[in-house]
Amino acid sequence: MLNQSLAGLIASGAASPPLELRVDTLIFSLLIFAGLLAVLFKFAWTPIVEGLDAREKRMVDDIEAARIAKEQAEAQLTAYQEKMAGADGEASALIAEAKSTANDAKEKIMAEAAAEAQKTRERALAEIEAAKTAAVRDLAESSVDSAVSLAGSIVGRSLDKSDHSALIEKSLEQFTTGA
Amino acid sequence: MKNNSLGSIVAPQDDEHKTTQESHEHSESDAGHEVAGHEKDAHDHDEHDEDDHDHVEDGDHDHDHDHDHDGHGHGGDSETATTDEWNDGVDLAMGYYLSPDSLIGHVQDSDHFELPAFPPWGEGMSKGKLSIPQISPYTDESPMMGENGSVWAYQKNDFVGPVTFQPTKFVVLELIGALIVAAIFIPYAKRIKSGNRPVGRFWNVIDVMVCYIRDEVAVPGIGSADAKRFLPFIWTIFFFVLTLNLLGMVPGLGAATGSISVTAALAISVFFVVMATGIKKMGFAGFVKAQAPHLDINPVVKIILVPMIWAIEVFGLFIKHAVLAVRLFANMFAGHLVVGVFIAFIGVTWHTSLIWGVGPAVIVATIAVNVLELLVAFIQAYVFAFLTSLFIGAAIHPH
Repeated sequence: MLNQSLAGLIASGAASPPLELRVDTLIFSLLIFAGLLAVLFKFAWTPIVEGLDAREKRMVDDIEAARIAKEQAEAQLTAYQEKMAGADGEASALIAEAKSTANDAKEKIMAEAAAEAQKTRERALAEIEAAKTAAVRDLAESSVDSAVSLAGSIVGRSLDKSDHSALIEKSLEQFTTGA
Repeated sequence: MKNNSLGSIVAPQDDEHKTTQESHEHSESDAGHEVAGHEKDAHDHDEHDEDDHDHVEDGDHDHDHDHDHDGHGHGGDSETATTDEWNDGVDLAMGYYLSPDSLIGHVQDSDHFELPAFPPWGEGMSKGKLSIPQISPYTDESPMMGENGSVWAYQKNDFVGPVTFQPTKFVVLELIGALIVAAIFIPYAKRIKSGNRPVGRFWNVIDVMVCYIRDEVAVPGIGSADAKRFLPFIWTIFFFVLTLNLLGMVPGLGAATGSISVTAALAISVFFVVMATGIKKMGFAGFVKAQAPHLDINPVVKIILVPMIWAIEVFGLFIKHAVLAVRLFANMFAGHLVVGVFIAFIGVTWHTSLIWGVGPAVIVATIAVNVLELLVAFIQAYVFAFLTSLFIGAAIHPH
């Protein structure tokens, strides 16, 4: 039974030798391939070609746009760099001008302050002199009055107003000269 | 192969063979193995071995061979006859597993798919098939009669008539392959139709392959000006062949491209496209004339040489398309045959202790060959598509 089974295995089955060209399989294969080609041509390859073309066009456009954008960016960068360089000079000039103005203002303020101080000093000196003069006068008048009063009481003679004034003037003169 | 190279053999649990076989010590063994086995009776095995060896060396597979066991004085006639029959069965089993018919049978086209069946003999064998419904059943079947007169198998003879349109395993696989290709590329087309890039690893792999075939196969072979027109054909060729090649790596299926009928159909398609392209470009007369190259030589010599060269070129036009078919078929067929041979070693040594060494070695070797086959699947699809491009390019730009 075993022998028969194995022998049957070898002999049975509808297998065809691999090098046998079977017309029906060949025709089936041609039909399947043609059908596949037709289906894929309509539903796959055509959209795929369109998609790939669109993608390539988009990539080319994107690259071109990127190139243009790069050129623009470079131009803008150059302009900005030039602007920056100009801004640096302008800033330096502004700073120099500001410094000059500040110096002028400083000198003006200093001069004005000095003049004002001088005026104040002179005014103060004048006021002091005036005050001194007034004080001396008051002192002289007071001294004369006292002296006249004392002298009058000594000599028993009362001095009138004119004598009084002459004595003051004389005392002042002597005071001033003596001082 | 001789059965003394097998070592000990355990008989299958068959009604007629519920014995275990003796161990052999093989001084003349091909492989030089000494393997212990099971033994049911204490027979004089040396004499049996001599009988067996003589039988094998004579190449006598006749079941009714005449061994004189009566003189041994051991056991009964029926028992000895059973042992001898089993030894014959072993010879036949080895002949089966490693015979060209068996090996090629697993690779070639068939009317059924093979499924795993254990044990691989007896009743189990008839169950390891998935038959393909036939349009017109075989009409020529010869019954194979058993010893008791019962029919135990049918010999299916060749197809009746030149074309019977019987769907076979490879035809079914081609349909499956075509469906797979369509199921991949129609969704892929929808994804990239508007110029979007594909998203996901799988779709990126497909995208890479599509672009590679366009940029590295079609454009170099045909020329950038004309390649676009033939891209659908080149793509279909490549992906259809690749899918069929890869389907062949799935256990239980088969490589449809391992059939000359299938590859011939593809080559014929290429041939017609090449012819149509050339004739459309130059006209029929122009295309025929263009097969001979222009020669700046002596007119007299030219009259002699040009017809000869033309004949060779026309002959070559057919040959190169035939070779296109044979190359793909031979590569795929040979690869699967190698895998089949390796696996057959498991069948041969299954009931011997050699299986413990052969089994792992076969598994490793089969994995290695399958990795190679995977590479071959891609390479052959590429070669087929590239040669197709070159042939089309040659038709457009002759000489």
